[in-house]
Amino acid sequence: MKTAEIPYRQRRNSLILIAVLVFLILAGFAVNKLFFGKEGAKAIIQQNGKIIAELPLSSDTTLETDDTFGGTNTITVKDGIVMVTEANCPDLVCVHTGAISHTGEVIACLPHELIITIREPDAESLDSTTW
Amino acid sequence: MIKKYQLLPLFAGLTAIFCTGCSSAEKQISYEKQLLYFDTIIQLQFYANESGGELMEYCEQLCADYEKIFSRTDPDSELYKINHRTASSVEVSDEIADLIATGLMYYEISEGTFDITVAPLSDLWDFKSEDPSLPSETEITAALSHVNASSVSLNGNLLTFRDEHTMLDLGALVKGYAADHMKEYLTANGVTSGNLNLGGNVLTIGSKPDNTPWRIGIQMPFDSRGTLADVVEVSDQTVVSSGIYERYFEKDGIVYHHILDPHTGYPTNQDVWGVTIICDSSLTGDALSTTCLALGYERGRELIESLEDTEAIFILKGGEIKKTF
Repeated sequence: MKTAEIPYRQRRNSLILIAVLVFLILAGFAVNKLFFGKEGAKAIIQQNGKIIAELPLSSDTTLETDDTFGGTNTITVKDGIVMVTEANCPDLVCVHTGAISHTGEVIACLPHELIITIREPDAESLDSTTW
Repeated sequence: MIKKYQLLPLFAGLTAIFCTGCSSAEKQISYEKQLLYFDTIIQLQFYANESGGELMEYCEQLCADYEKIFSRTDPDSELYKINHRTASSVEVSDEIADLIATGLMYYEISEGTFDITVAPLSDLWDFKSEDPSLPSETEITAALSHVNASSVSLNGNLLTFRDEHTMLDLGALVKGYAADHMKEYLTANGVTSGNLNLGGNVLTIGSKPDNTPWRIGIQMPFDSRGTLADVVEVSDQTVVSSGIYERYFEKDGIVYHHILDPHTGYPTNQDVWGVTIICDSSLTGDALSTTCLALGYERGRELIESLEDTEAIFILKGGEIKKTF
């Protein structure tokens, strides 16, 4: 059995071509991200009718909020989702709601007038949710 | 080989066109606001010209006004005054009269299962407490004796009670009513695209600016927030859900939910976890979703199929999904 030998030059050129194509694709992504501001999903935190923070879901963080009447909530961003992990409101609806990560989802703490929504640049996402 | 690198600017240029192509030529601005009224979250979003800010203010004022009328707990609200009346007949506002008329209509349709006088009974069931307890048989019997929508009559704006202890709760209807009125106002003022979400009552105005329908997710009952049972696409319609999973507690392995049967005094024991109605009016959607939940799957489906331009999605116990379309 005999296999056709591929000349060294041809193989080398193919490899270079593949390398160049990979580089172009990566460069395209980099240029897109750097210069055209394709942002990731963010959690928009509102309290007493004002936006108090915008947390990118891409970086893990915690935020303590205070409604100025002693009502506190601990908001945690971890692994691309956001949730209220602790609160001193009576019903704890905000904590029990669990984690959200998509447009149309919402966490609300009515006693502390706290609202968390998601802003996603992804056009395929939902516009609203019924429950 | 070097020539290939010369493609980079072209590649970057094409990427630039893709990214900016969508943001041009749109004169309409998106207005968005989140508010807390009716014991829930209100998310308003619509497209309008520069006047959008004023339109948004009107919508917020409408929520505040309706809260002042329909709150059961605010001693200054009109409904509170009606519930704590001193005479058997009360002159009521047009708004209260509208909702009572709707409530009484669905009392008939649901054969007495959807009852706006259920308040004394629902007060016995505390679904918000950390450590809920069952009301006693005697308490339930006592409360039930005042639950009877047929003892309430409305003549124009004159509301008459036969039982002095009867109280009204219009909470199941107020979100849909407010949504319909906001939409009416916004469309009269030139808004052709928007989506209003009043605590899960979604009412859309037209379609999205790119002429595609709005995509509305339906929450899966008893699952974590964001887990969807289904997604529906609508234009200019409302999507309203009602479910036994909104407020409930478990005691000795039994789920006690907040849709109470005025015939027995206990939560309705039905085969349905949740109902989503798709129709034109959010108030109708509100009334139909609660009515269908109380009627159960077979009778609920019959009711929906007898109505024009109205569809429903039933999520049965266990999670099975049944649609009328």
